[in-house]
Amino acid sequence: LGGLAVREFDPDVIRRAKTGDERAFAVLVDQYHARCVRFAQQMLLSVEDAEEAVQDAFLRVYDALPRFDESLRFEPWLFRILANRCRTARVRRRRRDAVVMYSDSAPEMAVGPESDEAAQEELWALLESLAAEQREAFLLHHVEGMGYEDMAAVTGAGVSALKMRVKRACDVLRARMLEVNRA
Amino acid sequence: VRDERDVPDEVIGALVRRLQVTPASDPRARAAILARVRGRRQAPWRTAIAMAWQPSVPLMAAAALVVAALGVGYVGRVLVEPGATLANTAEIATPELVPVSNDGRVPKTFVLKQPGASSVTLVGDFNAWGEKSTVLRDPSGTGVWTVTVMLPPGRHSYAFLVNDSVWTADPRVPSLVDADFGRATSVVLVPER
Repeated sequence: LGGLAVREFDPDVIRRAKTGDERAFAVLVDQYHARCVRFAQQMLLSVEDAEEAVQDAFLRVYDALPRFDESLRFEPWLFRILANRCRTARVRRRRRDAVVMYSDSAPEMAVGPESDEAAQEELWALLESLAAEQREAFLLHHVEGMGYEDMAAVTGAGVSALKMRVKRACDVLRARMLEVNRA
Repeated sequence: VRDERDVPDEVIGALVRRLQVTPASDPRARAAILARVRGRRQAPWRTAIAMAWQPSVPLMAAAALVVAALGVGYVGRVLVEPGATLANTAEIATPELVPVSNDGRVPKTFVLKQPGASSVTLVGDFNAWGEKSTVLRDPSGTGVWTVTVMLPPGRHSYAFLVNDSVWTADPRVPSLVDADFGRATSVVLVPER
């Protein structure tokens, strides 16, 4: 497993959350919310869509917790649900965009200082240059610090396919950054 | 274990460090999640099944718990599933041709017969118990107030609010006293499709 952000819980928190203890569930939400928002925003490139996907994911986690196998780790399971919600959100957005004609504007920006917005716009533009599967693999591996076995559990793809996606994502990003720097 | 080839080079490493800046977690967003969870407390049979799966529970005891849970689940489902086998349960029936939305939500129609009411709203865990979020209509003026909402699969608690003030559980399904609200609420189960 990648060493960036491995946090595991006292198993009792998961156990209590499984039986419907809302305080225990609140601990899980507090612990993971920010990372889930980060992943969803970088996958969907939209603050609003990300918030909806994260909320939906946590509700599904709560409903599905009684079926969670405690011999597995919680984090990949959470991210599998979140990644699925992000995929659903992308499909929904494609349908929505097919009906409502949008301009070719930049992705929606978070409210914040001008410099933050510009920085986020630049980062999101880079991520937008990746195919969704590449972006997902890149973010899980490099940003969330997940190992390939966990990524396989999250995405349902094989380890070698995931390695290839990460490599291609890095190639695309390098080329894109070079292009931007030259411009 | 991450293999050496995955160590990002300087260019990618710098990008990753920028992407790893975690956005502020909005407390209102976290509160909204917990508000929606409240009232979705798991049914007894689900809790029992969860308990049975604990590694510390011996196999036979786990089996007994699951059997008991399934029995409770069946009875509970009959009691609370609208349109179920009990003759006088609610007619919160799903239409014959059920349109399922992209996100798995299905339409549920809620009905309250309340002649003389000036307004009826639906409050439940699915609308964060918002008193003005979901308004029932009585277009025919016969006192039969209805509204159809799209609900995700799962167990949902709800009640009606009559004339903005009178909390009313659905009289056509057995109600439970909700521990959080101290008032009677009804339950609808939406199966996965």
